[in-house]
Amino acid sequence: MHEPAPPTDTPVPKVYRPNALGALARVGVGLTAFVLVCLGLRAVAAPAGGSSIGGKLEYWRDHAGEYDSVFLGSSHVLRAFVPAEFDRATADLGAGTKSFNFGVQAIHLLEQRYLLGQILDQGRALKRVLFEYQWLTPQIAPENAFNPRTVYWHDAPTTVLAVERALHWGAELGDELHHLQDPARRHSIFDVLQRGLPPGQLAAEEHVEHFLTERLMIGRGKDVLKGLLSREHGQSGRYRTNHGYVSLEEDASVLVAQGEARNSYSVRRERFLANQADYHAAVDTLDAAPQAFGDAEWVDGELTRVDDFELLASIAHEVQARGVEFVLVILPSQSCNRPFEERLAAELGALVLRYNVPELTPELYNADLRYDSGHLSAEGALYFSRLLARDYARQGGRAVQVERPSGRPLEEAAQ
Amino acid sequence: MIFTEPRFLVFFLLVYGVYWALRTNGPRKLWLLGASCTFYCAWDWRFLGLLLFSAGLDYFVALNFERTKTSGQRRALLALSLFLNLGFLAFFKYYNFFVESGAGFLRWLGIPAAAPTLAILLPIGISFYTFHTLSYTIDVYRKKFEPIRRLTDFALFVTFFPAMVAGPIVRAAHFLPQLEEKRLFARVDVRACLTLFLIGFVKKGIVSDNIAPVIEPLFTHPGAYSSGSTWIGLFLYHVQIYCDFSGYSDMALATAGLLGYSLPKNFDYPFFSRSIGEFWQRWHISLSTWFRDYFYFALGGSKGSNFKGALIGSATMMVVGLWHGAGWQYVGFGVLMSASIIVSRAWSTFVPEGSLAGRTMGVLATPLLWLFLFWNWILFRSTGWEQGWEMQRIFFGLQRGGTQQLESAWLLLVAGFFVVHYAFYRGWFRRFATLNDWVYSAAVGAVAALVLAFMATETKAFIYFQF
Repeated sequence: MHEPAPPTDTPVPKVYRPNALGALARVGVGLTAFVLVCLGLRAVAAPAGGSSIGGKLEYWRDHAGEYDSVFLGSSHVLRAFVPAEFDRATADLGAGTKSFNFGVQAIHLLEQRYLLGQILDQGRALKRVLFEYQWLTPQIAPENAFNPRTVYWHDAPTTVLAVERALHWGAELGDELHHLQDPARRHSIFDVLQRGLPPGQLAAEEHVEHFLTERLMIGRGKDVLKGLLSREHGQSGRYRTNHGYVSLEEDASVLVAQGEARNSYSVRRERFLANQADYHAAVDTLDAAPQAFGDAEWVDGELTRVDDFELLASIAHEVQARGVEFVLVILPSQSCNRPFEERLAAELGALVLRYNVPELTPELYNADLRYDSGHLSAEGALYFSRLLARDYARQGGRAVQVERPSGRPLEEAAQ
Repeated sequence: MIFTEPRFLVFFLLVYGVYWALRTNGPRKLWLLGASCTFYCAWDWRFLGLLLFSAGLDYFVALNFERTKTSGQRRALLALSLFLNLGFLAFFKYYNFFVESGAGFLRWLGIPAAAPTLAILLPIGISFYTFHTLSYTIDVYRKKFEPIRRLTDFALFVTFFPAMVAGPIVRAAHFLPQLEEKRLFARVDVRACLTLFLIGFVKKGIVSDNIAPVIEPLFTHPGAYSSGSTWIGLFLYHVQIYCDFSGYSDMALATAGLLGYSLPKNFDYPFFSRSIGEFWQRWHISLSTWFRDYFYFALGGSKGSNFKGALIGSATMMVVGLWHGAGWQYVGFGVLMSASIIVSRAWSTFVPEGSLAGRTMGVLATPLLWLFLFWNWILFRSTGWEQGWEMQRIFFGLQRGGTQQLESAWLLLVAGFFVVHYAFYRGWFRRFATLNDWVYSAAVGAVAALVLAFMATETKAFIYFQF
């Protein structure tokens, strides 16, 4: 009744109208207020990206000064790197470290690069960054588009990089773009017209849209409220005890304690135990073939994957330019690209440690040390952390050539 | 493309800029017609032909009313328009429902019958634009209105993008005269339109879209939730459906207003009504008045005895129920509304206002109306007849609910909404309209930033798009 009414056709007096310059000035005032409020909201908001990643960022913001080493990567890192064990081993080997596990589930290489920037900005005591090798997916997975986890890492530098890489790899990109997967939009004229654009341009456009969403703080209300109420993300406290490491066994037991005896983690474990033959076949392929992709269970196989040497090299140089050592680590996954790995080892200009050669490190592929086909168990993580410490210490942290692990059990190798 | 999507902003700024840059009315209208067709094609380009056919049909039918010599020919033309327009609506919207229901009925009688259903897509907005064009044809038939000569003007009336896909249902008598005169930018109250758009955006983007995922599981698996949660969910849906639809209407009115056109008001604080009759005078006004004028009056509802009026009124509500969707739950919704109209009429006839019962009802009218609406929402929102039936039993305490709970803190949001809603109702925010230009500009910028921050990340289509 009292909401402002739109114009009607009854005689309406002329509305007062400023001149063009005045109107522009008023629009300018509105835009300025808009930008200032966006900046204000950003200043008070808790870290973005959802509770898991936000919690880790929050913890790092408050405790970065305590660590000189960080291992950044995907769930492979989250489940495989035990900072306390790594530090103990490096101390035993005469090169003590204080490390943090910055593993984040289902991380994207560009997201990893964004997080690296955050880590470096706040980690003034950092001496080394261990960085998990990942391939690049230049486009955004349709099912993840515009969710908080995909939006948050689109700051200006990362978006520029994302756009550049999407255009660079455009020819490699297939047709599996979002509008083809969304039946509701299949006959929209805008999406039909969009289909005429080169795939690289479409992928780049999507990154720009995510950048705008991120800049305008769209949908960040919950983070703003959390920030205003000074409430920590749920998982922040969890990282205090284990320095960022969380085993799959621990996650599973939390769910069991919550009454979910059969949960996603236990199902994964059951599936792994039931399909041992498939697992061993994949491991055999990894040993035999120069290129293999056996991680379909863990990544979206529909998306284009490219090994982007230039991107990895630029990330390495960015870290080194800050006086921090960069170590690229290839985790014991089920995929490989031997020629590319050799190139990395030879040309990256940084230490490259490879653990995806079952022949050389058979223990890491031993089913007893694995929780599932893609991840190590808690016991496997302890073993891997000691192995990593040994290899890192052996290389003095400066060698650029890969020295292949011996393949013998660590205790034996250390003798 | 919906009004809360960023691409609508780009689309509208382009339409708005070019529209006002054009100097004469003809090119402006053509530009709007092109923009409206593009807007429709943003949903599905394949149904544009059907939309234009519908418009063309009524344009020619109306023109031919003048040329016919006998009333029989006029009736035949009207019947042709009704048959084809309602035929398209029936085919696209109700075919599967009628076929499945018919086959089910035969099977119930023991006669084996298969339901030859079709994979039919519902053309977006068909329930709205069909009623736009029918109002025109019927008015011209009734000689209330001269047929329009310019086909493009008529096509713009039918396709006008702010109102095309989810209303308000525009009458030819309201809109066509506006096309005759050139719209003057000097008469557009940009400030009022911007404010209205922002209000609509808040209702849709913040309130409705944030509530949607909370209540979705409740309506899908009502048996899993406790009785208390069912009540909380219904309070939330009460707010959601109002904010979703009235938010859309606000944005439609504001968008049209920025282009210099007015659309009929669709909502007038319906939750403060004191009877079901009053509720329908304030809720989806363009639909209820359409059915009143072209259905209820046409059947003689306003003439004759109270009994006849109630009977036709309840028949009207049944059709209104079915208009909302092809499903038995909508029929049930219509039946409940019909029954309530009859009870309401009987009450006002037999119970004097000054009596104790009348005075008691005066106090309890709004809470009772809400209770009744909650019951209706169950049918209206349920994903099927069985879910609706189960939820009703839990709602009325006839069945034990499950163990899942909705946070009772959501009731705070409901309460907060109604405080703000009441403040608008009482006009406490009128001061906003009198702020000086600079403060107003800054306030709009600041509010827009807050709205974007608190809007739901997943934009839901407007609930009424499905109708």
